[in-house]
Amino acid sequence: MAAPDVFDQRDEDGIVVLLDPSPGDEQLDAVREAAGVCPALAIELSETP
Amino acid sequence: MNAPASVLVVGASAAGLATAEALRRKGFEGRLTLLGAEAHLPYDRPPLSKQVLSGDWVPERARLRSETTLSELDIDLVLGEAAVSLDAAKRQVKTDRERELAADAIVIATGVRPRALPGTAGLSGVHLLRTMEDALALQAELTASRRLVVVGDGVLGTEIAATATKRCGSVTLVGPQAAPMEQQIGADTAKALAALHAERGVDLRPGVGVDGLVETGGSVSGVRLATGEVLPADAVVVSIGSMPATEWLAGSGLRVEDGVVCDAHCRAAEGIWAVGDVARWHHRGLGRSLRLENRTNATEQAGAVAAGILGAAGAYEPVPYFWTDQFDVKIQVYGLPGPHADTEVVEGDPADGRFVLRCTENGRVSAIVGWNMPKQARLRRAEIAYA
Ligand SMILES: Cc1cc2nc3c(=O)[nH]c(=O)nc-3n(C[C@H](O)[C@H](O)[C@H](O)COP(=O)(O)OP(=O)(O)OC[C@H]3O[C@@H](n4cnc5c(N)ncnc54)[C@H](O)[C@@H]3O)c2cc1C
Repeated sequence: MAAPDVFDQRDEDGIVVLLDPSPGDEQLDAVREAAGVCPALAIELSETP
Repeated sequence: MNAPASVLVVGASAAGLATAEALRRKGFEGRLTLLGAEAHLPYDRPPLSKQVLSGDWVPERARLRSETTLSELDIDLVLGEAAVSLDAAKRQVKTDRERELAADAIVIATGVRPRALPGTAGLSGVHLLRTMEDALALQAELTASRRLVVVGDGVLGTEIAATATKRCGSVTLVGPQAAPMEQQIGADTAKALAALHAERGVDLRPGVGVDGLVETGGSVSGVRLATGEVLPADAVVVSIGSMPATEWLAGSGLRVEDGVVCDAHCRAAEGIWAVGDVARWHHRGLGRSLRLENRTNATEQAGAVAAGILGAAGAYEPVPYFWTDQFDVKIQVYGLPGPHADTEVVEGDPADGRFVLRCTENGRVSAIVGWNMPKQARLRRAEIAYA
């Protein structure tokens, strides 16, 4: 899974849960990647400087 | 190779759009054109046999990206126009509107087309499922009083049968295998899947070929099995596999053999790449050529192709992955289970309706299959030999 510090999956049903709603800069590339590859298109990213 | 100044992507669906997005995400600032034969904004196919077919989603919900997101990508999006030929040496594409498009790099992302049963063209009540139009046309046929026969026990046919039980009074699934999807999920899981379908009211006809369709007054009225038996039907879905959409590459100079033949980097020729369902590339980890028809590959391979176009050197060697949702069961498959693998339950218990199965071949883990245990299955992906 992309960005494991930001997202996890629930044990029971595999639904992705958000661990960190405002991840730091060092996570940015991984989170962008996750939003790009998420098959369910469930990740929306808003970037504020 | 220097980064190109312009890129043309042919095919504007999952793989083509993901390539365009990955190029921008990785910093490509040149001219980017995305050419697609379908008139719709890019949409996703997995929901077509699930939420769209069942009527739970309106078609717009299957869109891959919103109009705003697409416009932010700063691409030339040309829809409803098909490529009709490619000159690989000149990197030039001709379209069905007599236009010529040239670019420093060309990406082939034209996917596949479903195979039809011979002699069934124009017969009313007979369906294929690949596009949004196909899904809506099939959906309109599924009502409580109708009898649906699904021909083909691969992933798509099996999934359609499951979804159709929500709308249709009678659903039959016919196919040559002993149990549905055996080839893709292995014999043990396929048996569990057959039991699930039977329990939910699908009439399974395993291990039998189809001879042809029976017609009455221009409409399909039955499916004739190799045994001579005729299954009565008001509607038939034919789901017997697909063919790469490569007709337009005739005379291009590229090698086409059940897909566009590529090297380990998904490159078909200098400056020409292929991605998604249409691409057959050399998978180094598996030591052979591979063509995958699944959603995750479309996105992952797009990332690899975009990186390659921008000069990265790594080979593309993913662990194949697909999922399917049938009734209330979510199946995830990592790797290639293969018909001769030894299997072992490593998590959960089939009796509880949740398990993870490990497939081993020649002493190496070849696949992990999850049944209602998506997270646990994913965590074991790393056990696969070339992961
Ligand atoms: C009903 C259905 C359900 C599915 N469910 C799942 C699932 O549950 N899990 C999973 O992993 N996968 C699933 N898949 C597979 C997944 O959708 C495909 O792997 C994915 O769509 C491949 O993307 P692609 O862009 O390579 O090809 P496609 O989606 O086939 O897109 C190719 C595009 O290129 C266009 N094109 C073709 N020829 C030309 C031309 N000459 N010029 C211009 N454009 C052209 C086509 O019109 C099309 O829009 C499903 C597929 C279908 C059909």
